[in-house]
Amino acid sequence: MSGIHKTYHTGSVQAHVLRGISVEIKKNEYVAIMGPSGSGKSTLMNIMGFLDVHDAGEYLFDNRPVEGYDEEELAEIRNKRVGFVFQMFYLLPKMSALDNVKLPMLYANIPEKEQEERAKQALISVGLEDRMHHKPNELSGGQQQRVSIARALVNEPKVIFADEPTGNLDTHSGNEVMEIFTRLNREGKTIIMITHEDEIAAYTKRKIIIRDGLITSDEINHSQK
Amino acid sequence: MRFPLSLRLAFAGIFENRIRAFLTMLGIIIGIGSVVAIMAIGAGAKSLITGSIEKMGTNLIGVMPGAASDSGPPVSVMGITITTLTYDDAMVIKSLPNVLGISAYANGSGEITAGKQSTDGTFSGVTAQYPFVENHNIEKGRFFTENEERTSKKIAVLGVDMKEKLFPYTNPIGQDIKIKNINFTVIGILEKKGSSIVSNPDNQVLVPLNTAQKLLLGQKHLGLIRIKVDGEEKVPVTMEQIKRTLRYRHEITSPEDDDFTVRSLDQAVDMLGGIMEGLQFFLASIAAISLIVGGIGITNIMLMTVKERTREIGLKKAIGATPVQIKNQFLLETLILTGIGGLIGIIFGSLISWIIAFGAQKMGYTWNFYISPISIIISIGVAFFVGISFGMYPARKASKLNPIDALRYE
Repeated sequence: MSGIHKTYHTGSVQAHVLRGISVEIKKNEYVAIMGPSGSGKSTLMNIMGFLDVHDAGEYLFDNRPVEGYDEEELAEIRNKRVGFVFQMFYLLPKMSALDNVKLPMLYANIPEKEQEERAKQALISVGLEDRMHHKPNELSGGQQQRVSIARALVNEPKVIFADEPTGNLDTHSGNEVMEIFTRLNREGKTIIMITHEDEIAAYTKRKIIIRDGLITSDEINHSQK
Repeated sequence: MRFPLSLRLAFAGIFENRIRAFLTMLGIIIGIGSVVAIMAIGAGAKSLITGSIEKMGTNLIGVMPGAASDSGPPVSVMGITITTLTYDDAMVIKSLPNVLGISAYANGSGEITAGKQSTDGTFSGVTAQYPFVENHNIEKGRFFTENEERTSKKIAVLGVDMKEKLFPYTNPIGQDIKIKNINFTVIGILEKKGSSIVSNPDNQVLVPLNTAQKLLLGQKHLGLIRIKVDGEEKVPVTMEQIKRTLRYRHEITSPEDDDFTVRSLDQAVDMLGGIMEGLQFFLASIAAISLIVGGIGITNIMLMTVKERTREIGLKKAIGATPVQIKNQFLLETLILTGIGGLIGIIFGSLISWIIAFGAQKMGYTWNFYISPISIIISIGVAFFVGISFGMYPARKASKLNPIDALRYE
């Protein structure tokens, strides 16, 4: 992507959050985006992950410009080609872990039987084989985050975006979650995550630092954990 | 059995906030329940009126003083006194072919006393054929004879309710009562007939017509002649004969100048049926208002919960739901909500109507219990429409937001 701009308008106040960001992320990279709050790192990730749209600049996803995609096409990309993991998990509270993981497949019109099979596989891969029928409030924060990773994985996207995935977790669960991401990266997924913590960034292979809407540092992490 | 995920999602959406679901449903329940109940009560009241008329018999013709159009009431109902209908008219009608019997009436009201018991009541001067014409038999004692009627005897026959008021503990036969301070001797009690909306034949005192006219009312004219005809099919012919006879006797040349009205009970049934339909329509519009009020309730609740639903929609969009899929889910939720609410409303409304019908039947009224399918279809349709139009609004708004804006909605 190059020259990305984003301005928010709140009443008469304008916030020019991204002031021309240019960055290229290749297949199977493992990137941490860091920066103080208000730097624009979340906005950048939301634009990369198709949750938000940029005002100016060019964004190529899979070598194709994304400007001009309509709602249906955007929904399909969010559904099948990228997966999102949030700091607040955003699981549906009344549904079991299994149902939560099935949700993206429901929107992909996958048959019920296959949904069941794949959702189970996804939960097993994050180590929750004995928690499938628990509701989110019966799970610990780390377990909830693993459910949301399973949900992000289940439609087999190439890229996974994670917005401070360990922000609400204790160190131990945070490390567990990071180990899952590291394994996924080894298995070929591109992973882009936001974090505050250097310890978390240490798991990744590349560290991008943003300040006031511009990239101030972009370096390869040679000492990956 | 497990429901498909989409259905379980809808149920989860509905019951995420139980109070909200309950309040939303309450609006639908009350709206639909009242439409169903009001329509059923209207139908019941209609059957009460037509039934009580049919109870009197369909081979009866009534002659009332004063002219009337076919559909309207005679002017005497409006309190205008027409004095041209007389006892002699009644006697001539009695001699017409196909006439089995007639009963002439002159009514009044006043204080009626027996010893210390006293009540304001209506009394009717009637002719000796009253029990035959009205199908109203004597339970105790006897009715008066034509001879007693002609000679203006001061005797009276009581309806059962009137008997209870005047002689709660004793046998009234042979005892005296006072009507407008004139002594009458009780000679009989009528059988219980059951009241109708129009009149209560059990709550009256019957005296010979002549006595009533001379002593109690001081008038020569009649309030009503009722004619019993030999078979329902002869009613129209006989009505024509009666009209011709009365025109001849009253020296009327054109039907437009009639000073009387001849009616069969069929006409009365039709007329009252028309009035009832109007009334029912009126009641239904009130019910429709309650449905709208329920709908406004639904809107309030839906708007109240925009925030939490917006986040949920944001999440669903973030994992790839299309706007259509999100709208469909809301549609399904509304369908379930109005479906369940509608079902409870129908049960609730039917129960109320059944209790009313049961009570009315216990009290001796003719009252049909009838739930109109149209009322159910219309009310569910309206509730669904209301739910969709108001419930879809926040959903539509949220489905158009960027997922991240919806997720972060405060």
